[in-house]
Amino acid sequence: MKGTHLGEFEEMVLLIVGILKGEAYGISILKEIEEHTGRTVTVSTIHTALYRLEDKGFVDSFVGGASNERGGRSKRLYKITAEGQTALESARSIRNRLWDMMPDTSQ
Amino acid sequence: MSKLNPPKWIDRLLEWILKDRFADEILGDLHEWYTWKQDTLPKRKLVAGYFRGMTLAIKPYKIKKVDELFISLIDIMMISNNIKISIRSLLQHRLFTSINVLGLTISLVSFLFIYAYIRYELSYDNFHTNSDQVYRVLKLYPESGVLSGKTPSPLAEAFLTEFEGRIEFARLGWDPVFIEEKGERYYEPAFYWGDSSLFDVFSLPFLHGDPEHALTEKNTVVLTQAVAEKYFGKGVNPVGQLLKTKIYDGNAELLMRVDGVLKALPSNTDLPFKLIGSITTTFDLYQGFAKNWDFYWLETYAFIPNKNDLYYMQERIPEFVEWAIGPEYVDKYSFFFQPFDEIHLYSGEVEGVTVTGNVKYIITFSIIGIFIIVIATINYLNLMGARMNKRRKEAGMRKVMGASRAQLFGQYITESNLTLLISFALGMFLAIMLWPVFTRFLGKEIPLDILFNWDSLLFFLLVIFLSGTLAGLYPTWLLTSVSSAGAINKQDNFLRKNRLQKVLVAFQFAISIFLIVTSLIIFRQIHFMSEKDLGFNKDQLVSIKVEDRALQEKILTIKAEMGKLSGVEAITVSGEALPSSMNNGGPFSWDEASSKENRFVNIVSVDKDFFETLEIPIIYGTNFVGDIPLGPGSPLIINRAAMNLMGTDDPINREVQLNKEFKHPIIGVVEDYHYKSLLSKVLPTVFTITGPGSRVSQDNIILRLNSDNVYASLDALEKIWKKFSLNELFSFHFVDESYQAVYDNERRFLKLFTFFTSLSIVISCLGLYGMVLFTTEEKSKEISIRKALGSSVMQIVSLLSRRFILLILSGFLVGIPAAIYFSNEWLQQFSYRIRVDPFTVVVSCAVILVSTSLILVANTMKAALANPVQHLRNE
Repeated sequence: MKGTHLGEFEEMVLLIVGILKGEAYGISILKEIEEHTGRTVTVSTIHTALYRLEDKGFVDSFVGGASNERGGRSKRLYKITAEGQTALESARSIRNRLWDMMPDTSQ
Repeated sequence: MSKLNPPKWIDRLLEWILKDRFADEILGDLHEWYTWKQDTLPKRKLVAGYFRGMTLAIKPYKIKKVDELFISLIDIMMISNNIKISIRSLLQHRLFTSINVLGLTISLVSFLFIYAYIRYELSYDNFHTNSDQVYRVLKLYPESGVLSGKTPSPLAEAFLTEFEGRIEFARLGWDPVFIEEKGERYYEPAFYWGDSSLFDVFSLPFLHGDPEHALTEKNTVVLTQAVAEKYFGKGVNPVGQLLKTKIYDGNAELLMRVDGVLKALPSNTDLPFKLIGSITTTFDLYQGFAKNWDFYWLETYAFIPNKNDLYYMQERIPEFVEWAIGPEYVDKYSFFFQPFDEIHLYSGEVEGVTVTGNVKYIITFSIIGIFIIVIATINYLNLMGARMNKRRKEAGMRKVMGASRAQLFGQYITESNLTLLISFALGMFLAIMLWPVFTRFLGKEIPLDILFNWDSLLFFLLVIFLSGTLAGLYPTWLLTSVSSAGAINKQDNFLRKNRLQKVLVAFQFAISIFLIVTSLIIFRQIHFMSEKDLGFNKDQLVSIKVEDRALQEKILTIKAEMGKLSGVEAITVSGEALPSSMNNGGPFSWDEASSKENRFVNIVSVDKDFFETLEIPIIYGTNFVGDIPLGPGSPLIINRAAMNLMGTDDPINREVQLNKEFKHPIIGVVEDYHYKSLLSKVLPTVFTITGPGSRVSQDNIILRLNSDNVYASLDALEKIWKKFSLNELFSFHFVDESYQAVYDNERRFLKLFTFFTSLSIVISCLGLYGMVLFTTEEKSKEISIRKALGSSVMQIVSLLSRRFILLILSGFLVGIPAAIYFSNEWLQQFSYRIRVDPFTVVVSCAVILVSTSLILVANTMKAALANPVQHLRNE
């Protein structure tokens, strides 16, 4: 299916959105990525990924609360949709199947 | 945790250009990132990261549409709100607004006029497509540096031979004619002989006829549209028709075939012709000219496409002179290529050409234009400043409510720009209404659309926006330099500390005194020139021109007839009219040494009654006795300048040589008289008696009428004239009137200068009036208290005025030296000039002090006379 392919980075962002359960926005995702992968990414990269995911219908966004450290600006929070869930699962099952076919190299 | 804020401009930029959907999210996240990383990253990296975040965030799909961008810009700058507030504030302070708008309108009208004048002057002859490759050939006398616009006949051909392929020529030679059409004779003073190449060198579009073949044959003529319509009627194609033309100098009547009609030329041209005859015709008419290097009559225009060729030729001029004229001329004879686009403004020093423009006028009026704008802006600033005490409450309130410095600034520039725009619209309207007056005043037909084109309008808007913004900065600076609490607090009178305002007032009056002194000096110089003794008596003197060669032969008979009239007191004939630019000259020598130096003198042919009629005193020797025509041994009279040239005070009976021909004895010396005007020096002049038939011949009758009945005498003179010639026009002028007309250019300059000077003084006084008005109002309580405590009205008036008078006086300290310097520079151009005297300066100071004192006293009196209760009761 064209347009619903998940890139590697997108998949990771989508997973974190799922993990954060409605608390996902630019900076919280950024922090998760830095914590779990050690990669340094820019805010803009995350935003770009989020917009793509939204276009594909894998995430939904809604306006959340503002805070002082945001200069009084409100957050835009993301949550995973059913389609996003499906996409993640299908990506996982494809990968699992492929792993199963992998010959055991340790022997 | 110390709180650092990311750069604001980045936030603003992003807020402006990003769609709302993205702006909040991106900026919020960026901010949060900034706060989060604050402790781990150094500030430099933090800012760099933020900046990088901005650049990465700007992606086409996130940016607003153009119209949305525009609207959000208005929102961010609060323009619509600012305009609303500005209108309210302008309406609230009506008196202030009207003083401001009035001053600004006057200055903008002057500015528009000056702009139009300068732009018009700079636009001269810019419609020629080749104008940067065309040059006028000037003859240069290397010894004296004198330049002349008239060149000899053989020049162009000699250039063509020597510098083949590098240069093209077009020549023009002035020769007024009479044209006979349907039995009527018309004088055509703008007839020129010209080359057919004129139409290649200049951009002269044809209405009828073919530029390729026009003027290639003898006895052909090209007309301008107006002349063609005059002779052949409107809408008629006259190509091929014949015009009966009488050429005076050639004493010939020709039938000239019309080869073409030129479209009407724009008014901004220095090309002088209305009719052009083919120059080949003159080869028959004036056979002597073709090879004569000593007779200058042609204006020669060169077309040099390549700049390198120009440098090459300019360098080779000495070799060219040696080859073309002779080795002995190398030091005395040179040529210079004057760029065509410099002709209009930079020909003041060139002799033998009509000069209509002057770059000095351009510079002067540019400076005045800037002055006027500066004065008006200062007015605005000062009035703003004077009113600030009232407005600071408003400003303080805005600050308390959270307005930033930038927002206050936005408010004030909106207000000042709005005021300026209103004034500009009024000024534009006034300028259009006054346009006919203005152009008549200048004596130039400037088209109105010089103001209405894109670059002009853009320039005006730029000037307005710049001065509006500068004017808006000032109140912002005044108001934001005090704290909001201070602004609201009544006791804090921060105006007292405002030094800039004082400097500005002083500066304004420095400009005013400068302009007054200078215009008085200009006035006095022109008055001096028109009233100064010319060295002869010009009253009741009439000069009659005798153009016709045949009639010139009878000139002495006509003179004798006219002399018999009872109304004629004295009569003489002369080869030069009065005033005259002395068209004839020749080499003059009095010994071995001087014959090598090639000294030139004016040669005037007169008769024995000349000096008596004009009342020119003979200082040494005697007058002519009888009429001995120029020939070997014929006597000469010289003027004092010629005697000084010879370096002797006893020249009587000295033998001199004229025109490198005959030797003559000098029989008398006359006092110098101003034959042209006081603009030029009296040059060495030799008087002879020359019979008819030569260039020098007597062709003017000059006579003095007695004052009894001038009109009857003129009628009688015309009757005698008609006896000798039925066809010829009886054309005469009064010498004193013509001498006045010589200074027309200077007079026009004076008129303009005085006009703008008065305007600038009116504007300054208006500003002063406003300032005094507002400061007096401010101090009304102080005045009332002083009065209640026993001050007299005089004490209060002097208390209030003293400060302003001191400012004006300090303005004088700057303005007067500048004026004296400028006036002296300006006077340098006159050979006979006045000196800058203390009297003029004192009068100028008095004018300003009296007018400002009136304003001061009138205003302060009002305050001083008021009943103290009025101002104190509402405390």
